[in-house]
Amino acid sequence: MMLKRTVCLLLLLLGTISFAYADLEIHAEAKAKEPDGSIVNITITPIKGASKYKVEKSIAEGEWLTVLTTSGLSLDTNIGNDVQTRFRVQALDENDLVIAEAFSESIQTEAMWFNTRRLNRFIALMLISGVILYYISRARKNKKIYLRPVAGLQAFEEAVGRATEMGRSVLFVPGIMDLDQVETISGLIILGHVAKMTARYEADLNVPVSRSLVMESGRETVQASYISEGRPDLYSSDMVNYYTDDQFAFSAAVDGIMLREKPAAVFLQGKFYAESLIMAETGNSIGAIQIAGTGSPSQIPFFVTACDYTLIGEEFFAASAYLGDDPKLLGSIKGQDIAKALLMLLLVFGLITETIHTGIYNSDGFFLNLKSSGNDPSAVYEIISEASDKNINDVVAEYSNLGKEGKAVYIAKNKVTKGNALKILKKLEKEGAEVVLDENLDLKIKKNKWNLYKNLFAGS
Amino acid sequence: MAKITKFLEKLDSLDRRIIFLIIGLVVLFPLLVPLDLPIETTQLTEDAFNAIDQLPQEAKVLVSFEYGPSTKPELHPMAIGMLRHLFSKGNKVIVMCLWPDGLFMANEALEQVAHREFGLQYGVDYVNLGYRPGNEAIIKGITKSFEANFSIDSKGISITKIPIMHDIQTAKDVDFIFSLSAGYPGAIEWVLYAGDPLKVPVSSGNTSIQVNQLLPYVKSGQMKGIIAGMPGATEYETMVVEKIKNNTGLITEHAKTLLPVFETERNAKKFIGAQSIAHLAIVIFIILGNISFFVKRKNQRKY
Amino acid sequence: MFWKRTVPAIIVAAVGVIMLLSWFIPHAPFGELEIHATQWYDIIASFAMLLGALNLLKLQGTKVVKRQKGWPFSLAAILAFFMTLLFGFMIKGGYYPNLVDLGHNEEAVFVKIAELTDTDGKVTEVDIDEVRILYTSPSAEGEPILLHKAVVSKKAANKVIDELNALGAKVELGELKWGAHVQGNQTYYRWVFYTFFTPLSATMFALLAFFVASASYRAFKIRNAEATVLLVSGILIMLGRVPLGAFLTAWTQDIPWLSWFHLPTIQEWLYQYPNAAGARAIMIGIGLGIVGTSLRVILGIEKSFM
Repeated sequence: MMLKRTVCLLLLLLGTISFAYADLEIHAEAKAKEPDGSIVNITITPIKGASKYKVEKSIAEGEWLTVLTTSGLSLDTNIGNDVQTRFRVQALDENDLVIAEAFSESIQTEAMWFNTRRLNRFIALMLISGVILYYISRARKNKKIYLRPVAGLQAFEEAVGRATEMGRSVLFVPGIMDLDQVETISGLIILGHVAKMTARYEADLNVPVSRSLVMESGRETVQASYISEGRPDLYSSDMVNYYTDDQFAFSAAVDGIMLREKPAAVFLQGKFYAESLIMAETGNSIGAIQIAGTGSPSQIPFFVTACDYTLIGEEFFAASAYLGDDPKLLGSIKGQDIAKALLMLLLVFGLITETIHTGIYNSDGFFLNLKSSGNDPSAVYEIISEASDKNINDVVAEYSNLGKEGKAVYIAKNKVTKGNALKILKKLEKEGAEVVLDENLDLKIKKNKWNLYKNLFAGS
Repeated sequence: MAKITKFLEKLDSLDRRIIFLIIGLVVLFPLLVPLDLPIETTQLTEDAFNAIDQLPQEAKVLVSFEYGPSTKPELHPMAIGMLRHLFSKGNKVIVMCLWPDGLFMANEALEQVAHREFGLQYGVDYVNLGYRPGNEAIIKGITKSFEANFSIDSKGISITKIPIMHDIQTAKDVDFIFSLSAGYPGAIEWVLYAGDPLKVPVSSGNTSIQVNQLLPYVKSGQMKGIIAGMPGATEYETMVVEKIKNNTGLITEHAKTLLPVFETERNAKKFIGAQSIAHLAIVIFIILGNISFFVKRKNQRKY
Repeated sequence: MFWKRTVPAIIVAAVGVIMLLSWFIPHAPFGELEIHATQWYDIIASFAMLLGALNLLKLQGTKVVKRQKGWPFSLAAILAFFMTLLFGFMIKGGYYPNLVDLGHNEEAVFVKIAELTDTDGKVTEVDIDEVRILYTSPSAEGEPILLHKAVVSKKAANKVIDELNALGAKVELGELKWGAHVQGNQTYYRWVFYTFFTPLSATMFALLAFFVASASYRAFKIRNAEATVLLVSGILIMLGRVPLGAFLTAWTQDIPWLSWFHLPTIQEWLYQYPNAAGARAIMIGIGLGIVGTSLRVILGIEKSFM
């Protein structure tokens, strides 16, 4: 009798276990339209008695790496592209004991050959580059190009001349950043022109720098300028010196040079941060003529206050074209201006359409009412996340428990036309969700108002 | 009268050392005798505070330290205020540094708030991943994998052994990114390389100087508010204290007991008095400078 | 000329175009190029540090040898350079007594640890209680005792170990590893950071307060209409940004039609609208400038910096 009972109990237990094993499933699917590939969506079919699930991925034969331990049933994770990867899920009970295990099919992800999400930026890049290139080629064909005079750039020669007359040196600081910043490159290009002037006037040039690579590049630039002016004898590598990488230690070094050597002309051309005013005010206190130029918007006010001339933003980048005599450079500046005009037109266009758009359809005008997420909620959550511009985790938290009335899905501001709302609705329905298109009262009132105005104007 | 006119004329070419001396004295005074000025909050700080406040208790927040000792007086009070806010809600915090000296700042802030005030467990409630060189490349890197960029934390522990990192593979798995930044790399890089591509909300605490450059990102919604300089830090401190005092939103029981500490140990509030007086002194200087400028111009016209 | 100008120009053009296109091509090998390139750059820049360091020593050394103007500053720079180098690579400190077992005389050990770790020079019952909580059951790896000292050398740590061992406790010598010493407590490197670097950096940054005052005193003059707008908005922002502005105009809040004249309100409006609009315009210009400069560099029109 006892034996019979034990056997029965054992069979029951085995049955339960096998039932549990049969039920646990893991399904992995590469996320569609993901430019970088590598993202996999995992769904777990739950079993009774499991309090959480440990998800692992294969990294080599027989080797597994824990992805995470979760009580959720759907998650996104990353795998390496172009590698066959499998997932393993282990169901854990309350005491963290494994009660079931399942494996997914092998899966492989691949990155796209063109990131379609960046198409707009690609078009913008092509357009702007195209305009600039066109004007460069026009300049090559000797078409005359007019550029408005910039006071700061005209003062370059005057500043160097003054330093020569006073028998004092010229100090040039090409910013505090490294060669990977375009502002530093631009600063070095301007240094080349200033070095030509100091070579012509036989003035002393001192270039303190805060990066070793900038020192090397600066020396090459200055040397090339002295050679091109036929004065290699005046060049010395001691003109360009490295002090320190540290921002404030460097500004202390530059201030020290200013106070000891009292240069008559100070050029601050490059990328600057908070040290801008510390340098510019010290330069001002020694009575030097100061010309600053930077692409750091937050430092421009300081330079404007403390320096005699400031090249603001794009003027700084255009300096080399002004100071040099290469028509191709002038052409590129003209191209830049045309690109800017195009952008301005685009801005005005955007302003008008946005005003009309928000006038008729305000931001939460149309919305979708999600009544049920269907059998595959993860895909639905993803669509909602994209449409409402919300983090996927927030979406899951918000929509995992839909009440009787359903829950509203508000579409991000720029996608709120009826057509767009319908498009999203169709996408959601395709994934099995039950959704209704709705519009709020505020919108209805606005629409009525709009019609009223239209009728009024039509009547008059 | 003539004497006054002469004095005012002279004022125009006032030796800047006198200005320095006066500024030094007026800044020193409120530091010795603290002023108790009423603090009003502004929208930019409120937006940042609310964005963090709305995070649920289980949220994980990535805090990046990108400042050094030079900007410590301005940014450290923000770090303290923000960590107090996060820990008082029971949020988990992952700290990393893109500036080498940011690590010292992070250690100091965590030692004070996480260890001494809250008595939290390292590795479970918070972790300091330390500094990695590479600027924005590190940000781009963690959007793909934390482990590839931070194989060990600042204490040398493998991140696979740190419980808080178990369900965090990439920056996408954190619920909020907060950058305490004084320059490059900083808040802009976080917005461009992590916040925008991953759709993870980003906010930032910055020096007053930088705010100008960051405002367009706040206005476009790419950044959820901003804590701007010392005034922003003071506002944030005040909002944290007020929140616990009024018992609104998510607050752990332990945090409630810390209210007296939060109320008394407030560096930003101490410093803002000095900044207020310094601003007033500068405004007075500007007005005096203009009076002198006018008197001088009027007299020059006579001749 | 070919090797010095043409070859670098070709490399710049090729790398520039590849990097530009790789931003649009996530597929391998392009997708990861940007990260690799940035890391290569960092590695090259790290090696270039050596050039910079040698140049620094040469420059400052010459000044000291020739007794040029301000040579004592150069001497300070050289000494600081070698001191930091020494504490970064040769002497690290960061030793600590590691408590393994309390022994039979627990209370005496607790009092001793409290004396050693106390920060205010006065050991109270509260301090001893804290020590009791922390050190009652040391873990298997031992419990590090953080002495109240800026730097703990091997000798200092051994002295403390002897004292504690004499009380019956079992204490071993622990030390921070090389590498970790840069981030750890009680090392010479940390001491340099907090004793020299922190106050010096903070001082330099604090100079801004003085310079802002002198610069605005000089520049903010009502010369013309634009300067007046600059001056008025500057004053409004300066006052409105700090609590003093709110305090001075708090009374406007009681009168509905005057409520707009509250300084923080005006400040925030100026900050968020006219200022943000200006910043955007400048940033668009800078963006275009960067595109233009990069194109000129890639196309080889601009190569004077090479």
